Amino acid sequence: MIGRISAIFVGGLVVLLALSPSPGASAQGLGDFYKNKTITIYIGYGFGGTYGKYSRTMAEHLPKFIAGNPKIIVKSQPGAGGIKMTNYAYKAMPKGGYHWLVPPDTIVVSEILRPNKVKYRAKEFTWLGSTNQTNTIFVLRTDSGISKWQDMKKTRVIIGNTGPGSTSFLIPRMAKMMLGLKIKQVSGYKGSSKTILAMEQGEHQGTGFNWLAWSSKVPHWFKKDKNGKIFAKAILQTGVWKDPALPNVPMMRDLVADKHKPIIAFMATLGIIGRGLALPPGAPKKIVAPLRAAFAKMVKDPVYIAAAKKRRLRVLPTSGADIQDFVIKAYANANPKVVAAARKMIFGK
Amino acid sequence: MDASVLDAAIKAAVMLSDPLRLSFLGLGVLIGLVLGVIPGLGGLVGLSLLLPFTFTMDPYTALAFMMGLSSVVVTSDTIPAVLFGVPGTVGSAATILDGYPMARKGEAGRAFGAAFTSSIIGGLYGAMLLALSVPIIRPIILQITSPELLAICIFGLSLVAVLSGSTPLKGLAAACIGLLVATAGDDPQTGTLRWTFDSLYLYDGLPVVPLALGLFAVPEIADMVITRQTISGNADAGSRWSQWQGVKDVFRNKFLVFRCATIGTCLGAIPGIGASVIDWIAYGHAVRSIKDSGKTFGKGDVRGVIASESSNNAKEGGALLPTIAFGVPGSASMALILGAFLIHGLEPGPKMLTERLDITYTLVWSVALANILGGGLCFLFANQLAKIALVRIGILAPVVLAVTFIGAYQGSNAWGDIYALLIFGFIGWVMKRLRWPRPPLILGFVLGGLVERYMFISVERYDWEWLWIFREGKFTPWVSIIFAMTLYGVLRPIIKGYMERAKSGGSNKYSIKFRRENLDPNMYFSFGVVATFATCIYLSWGWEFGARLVPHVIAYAGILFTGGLIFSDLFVVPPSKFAAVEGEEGTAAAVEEARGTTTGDAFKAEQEEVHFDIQADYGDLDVKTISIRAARYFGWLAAFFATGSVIGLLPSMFLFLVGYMRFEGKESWKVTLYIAVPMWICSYLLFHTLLLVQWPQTVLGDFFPELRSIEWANLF
Repeated sequence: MIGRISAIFVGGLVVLLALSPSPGASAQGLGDFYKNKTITIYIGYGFGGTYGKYSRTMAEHLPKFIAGNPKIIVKSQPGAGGIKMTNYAYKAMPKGGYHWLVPPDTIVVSEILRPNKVKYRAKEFTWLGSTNQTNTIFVLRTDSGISKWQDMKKTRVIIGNTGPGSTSFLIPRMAKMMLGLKIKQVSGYKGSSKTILAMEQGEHQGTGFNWLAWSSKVPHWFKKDKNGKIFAKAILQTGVWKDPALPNVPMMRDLVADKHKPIIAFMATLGIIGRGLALPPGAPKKIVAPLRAAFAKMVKDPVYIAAAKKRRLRVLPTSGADIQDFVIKAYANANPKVVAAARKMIFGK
Repeated sequence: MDASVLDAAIKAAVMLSDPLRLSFLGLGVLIGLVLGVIPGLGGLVGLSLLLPFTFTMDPYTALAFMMGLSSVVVTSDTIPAVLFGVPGTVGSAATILDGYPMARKGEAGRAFGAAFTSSIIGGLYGAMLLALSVPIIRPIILQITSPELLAICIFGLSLVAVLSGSTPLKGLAAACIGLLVATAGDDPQTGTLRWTFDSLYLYDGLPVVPLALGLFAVPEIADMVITRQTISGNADAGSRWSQWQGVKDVFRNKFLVFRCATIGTCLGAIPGIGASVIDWIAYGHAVRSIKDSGKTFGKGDVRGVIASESSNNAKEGGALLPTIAFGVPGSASMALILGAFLIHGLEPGPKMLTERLDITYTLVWSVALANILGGGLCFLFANQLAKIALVRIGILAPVVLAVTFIGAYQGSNAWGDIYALLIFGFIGWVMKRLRWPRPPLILGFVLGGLVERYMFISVERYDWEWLWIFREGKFTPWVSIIFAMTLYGVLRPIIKGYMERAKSGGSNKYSIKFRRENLDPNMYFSFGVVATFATCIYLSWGWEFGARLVPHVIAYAGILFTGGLIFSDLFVVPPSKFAAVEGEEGTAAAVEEARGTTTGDAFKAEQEEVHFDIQADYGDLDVKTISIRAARYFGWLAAFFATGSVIGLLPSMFLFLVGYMRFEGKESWKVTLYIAVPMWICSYLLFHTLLLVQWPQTVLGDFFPELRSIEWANLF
């Protein structure tokens, strides 16, 4: 008898559990947590760039997927390539779950390569997801005589960049050192637009920015002109996954020797972190799964995708859990020996 | 202009004449005017805020709205510049030099009349040049590469020689201070963090807003407070008649307007020069080209206002050119307008100059209309605004200071902005008192980073070929032409002066004598400057070669100039007066007497009569009174800062307003609260609610972090 009662009890419990909403799978797990509340998203750049545009688009669309439909506002705290805001987020941002950040895509690379400037630990942030992938795409003028990366083994090219901490410096530098390419780097252009203008002026022949920058600033470079010529071509890319717009452009990690692969792995986080959202360390654990679910729904929502498209933004989503995994793995790979080798290769010291 | 261009221009005019579009243009103009008046805010803030609202508009309306806003910010920024000596935006810093002395002389209305008229004409001229140059702009911009930019920046820097007046060594040393400050931050060549003192604040370099406000606003308010006078005692300050005088001044100097507007448009069109440089180059040009400018400029000459104002409005038209033709924003505001382009499916680039000319001409018409409307509105209210010059100093000083504090904080939303404001405020006040010209410092600062950047790129890319008229086989004459102009500008007055002295029978011989009486505060300041340069060399000794090269060259030059200044003040008796007296009188006694006067104040007055900066005039006040009042003033500023770090900048602003007005200004409680409460509420609504300013971390916030989670109370 007791056994039968127990069996019914256990069976009933199973049914109840099966019927009850899973907090990990639905935004409903948040209950009234965000009801009548305001969420503030911080960006480490001005509103003019893609950080500003993505964050404002997310702020408009994400509330409808979060129980309680909170209001989301965006604040900008620019400086030091996003490090200033990220330091603030790590040290002083309220941890109640109402203050989030759009982490700079260089968050891991900066921490590993320039540790004396950062006061955060990237792996302690909790990623909710990313709405765009920002692989670095190495583009060259076609009149440089380069049509594939191997050509740079024979032909010397001049490559512009915005400064030693930037992707426009790092990726060509790694290509030069890891693949033995003849690259001369010219540093110091102020921002991507001016670097691209200098490339058009012929002052240098190529550089590395994410595909969104290339395709929104100079889309006509990649189409045939009236003489049937194209002005510039993507030659190499770095990231975790290939950019879907550039399936035929080789990934650097497939070309380098095994000894360089750990360095490429943490550089690749740039691409996967892209433009997304994260919670500061110490935020309540119970909100993570429902917020990740809400984020995942938003990036699939046709209305959000259409709004992003209208703003000339791409939606190439990555889940929060995936980013978290890659960030943790990048740290695991970046042992002191690898980091020292990377620094020596990149900065020569 | 071919038919298709004309068609596009007409089509754009018809599109823009739609009442709804005109209303949005008008709204943009109104917002732009308000933002221009508030120091620290400008077109960038307004456009960031309004960009999302333009998504649902059609492209013509959106662009009219945004251009309306950005075109007129530099029209209304004249108002605080003239009335208080506080630049509304960095683009109007040069307006202060003559605009503010005009207000003090009771000529605020005339200054406004001249400024608004030059703004309108400058803006229209900029729009016209934009319209005319659209078809040919791409090949021109493609010619201006890093070596050309470097040459232009060096030309700008050569104006230091002009702006230094008759104190070239002080001017050059001041420029070196500015240049050295500009090297702070993450070095773009080597990645070395220069002078950042382990703080992220200076990582991107010092922002220009707190520096400009510190150098000009804080000292001007200090002197108002010390003399305890209203800005002007003249009740007729802003009458329509005096404004009309200003309008007539502009037409009398029409060629100056066109020259400066051309400078504004051309430099505005070059990406990488920046708004903060243009007004100074135009002002320097006016000083150099106008005969006897040394006697009146810096003392309230309307032509100084005209030069600065016609150039800064014209630059908006220019800044549109690279934005349209290449998608490269000519200014920070243009980056947001570029964002609007993309959202509305417009691709900047060659198509904007062919297929989408209608859009391009919508921009041209918007700039033109906005300038007329903005200038007109300013005229309408100018006579009321000019009456602010009559407000008691006990009320005016705290209000202007409070806004300056919050405005400076908009530089980069960090405590560092307030530190910079206070440090440069004190330096600016000392410089003003000791008659060190401040314009060379700010010119050195705004050009310093650019010169270093373009020099490294040019040398790295072309080696020494960047200087030559052929680069990689291509004919590139611009660098040589600009350098020739620079040399002509610098050498001509030196040679002319030498020849004139020789012709007039004056001697070019100097005599040497130790002048103990010159061991005064001026000399101690010079010693301090030398010590600062030496410390900079010491601190940067361990940097990589590429990182320390430019700072070291500047610091050694600074030591040379300041050392020369110290030597000449302590030991050199200049020839002119000595020789003239010798020639006229021929007696040993007279020569001795002349030598005596040349060592004292009389000599200084003669030596420094050409001074392109506002001069301190304390009337009959003795040194002790001046020192006590100055100490109290800076004490109040320090108290504002200290309470701010404990209870937050905005709450501290309220305490400061009340405390200063009631206890320093001796106003009644009623007047104090009538002004402080509405002013604080407006500031709260504007900065906290509307602009979503991220306030600095404070002790109170660290103790009660939950306060930061409440949006309306997140001030700490």
